[in-house]
Amino acid sequence: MNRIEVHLWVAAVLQWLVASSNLFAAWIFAYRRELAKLSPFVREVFIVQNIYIVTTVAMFGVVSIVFTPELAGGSALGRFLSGFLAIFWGGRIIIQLFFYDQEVKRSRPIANLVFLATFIYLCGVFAVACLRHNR
Amino acid sequence: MPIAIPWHGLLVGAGAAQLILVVASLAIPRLLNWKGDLAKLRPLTRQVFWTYAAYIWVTNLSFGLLSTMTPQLLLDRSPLAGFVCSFIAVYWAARVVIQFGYFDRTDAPKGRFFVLGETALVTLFVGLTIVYGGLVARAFGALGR
Repeated sequence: MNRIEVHLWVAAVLQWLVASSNLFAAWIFAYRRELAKLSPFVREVFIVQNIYIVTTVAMFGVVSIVFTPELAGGSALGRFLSGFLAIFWGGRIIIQLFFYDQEVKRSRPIANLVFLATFIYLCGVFAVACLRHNR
Repeated sequence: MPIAIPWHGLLVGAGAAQLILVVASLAIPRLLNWKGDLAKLRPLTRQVFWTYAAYIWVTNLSFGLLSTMTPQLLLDRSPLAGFVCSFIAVYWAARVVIQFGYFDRTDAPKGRFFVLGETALVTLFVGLTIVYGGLVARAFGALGR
């Protein structure tokens, strides 16, 4: 196993942690009380969105473990997925820095830094994997 | 004599349908007045909602682009292609289940326009499930080339 493949395994674990952090977010940010303010239909949309995002990110972890050589430049589809994941996590860096509530980030500086570092790492690993060509 | 299934055309068509869905779905926040409803939330919860909506939109866009621009990547019967098609098939199948099993449709907007829209959406979700599910079966050698 080469170095980028090791990083892809680490990325898999990090993606599972990010996926599971959504469950804690629901509790920390009192989603239940917040969602009670919404109309039933929009509330349901929010819950469905959460389920889709958690499941999708968890599946990114699975694909990173099961198809590591492909993602590390071993196939064109693997490189496409790595490119997609680099953009996916790159976008998350921008959102974390410029979109999410500054006040909440200031009140939880360590969590903010941990998430930011995780997104930077994931973006970097998948960008490098996408640019490799192993065939 | 086995029937030759035009997988390439079906996949490109499924990709195009997803791209149309992506464009049409830009109208959903306005049609369902998300902005007015979400104004009642704290900023972070509202931002999380928009972030997740954007990510789902980008995921749908990537399904459409992958299927229309590089269909051969999903048609090569590789295990990774089979996995990606399985994921997309389950993604859309779950959407059908949610439409009928989870969404409280008594609260959904009324009128012929919305009924037509829902019918078109459900038909699309079922069609996408069939095409990508068929590709999974094909990847495992169950259907024709």
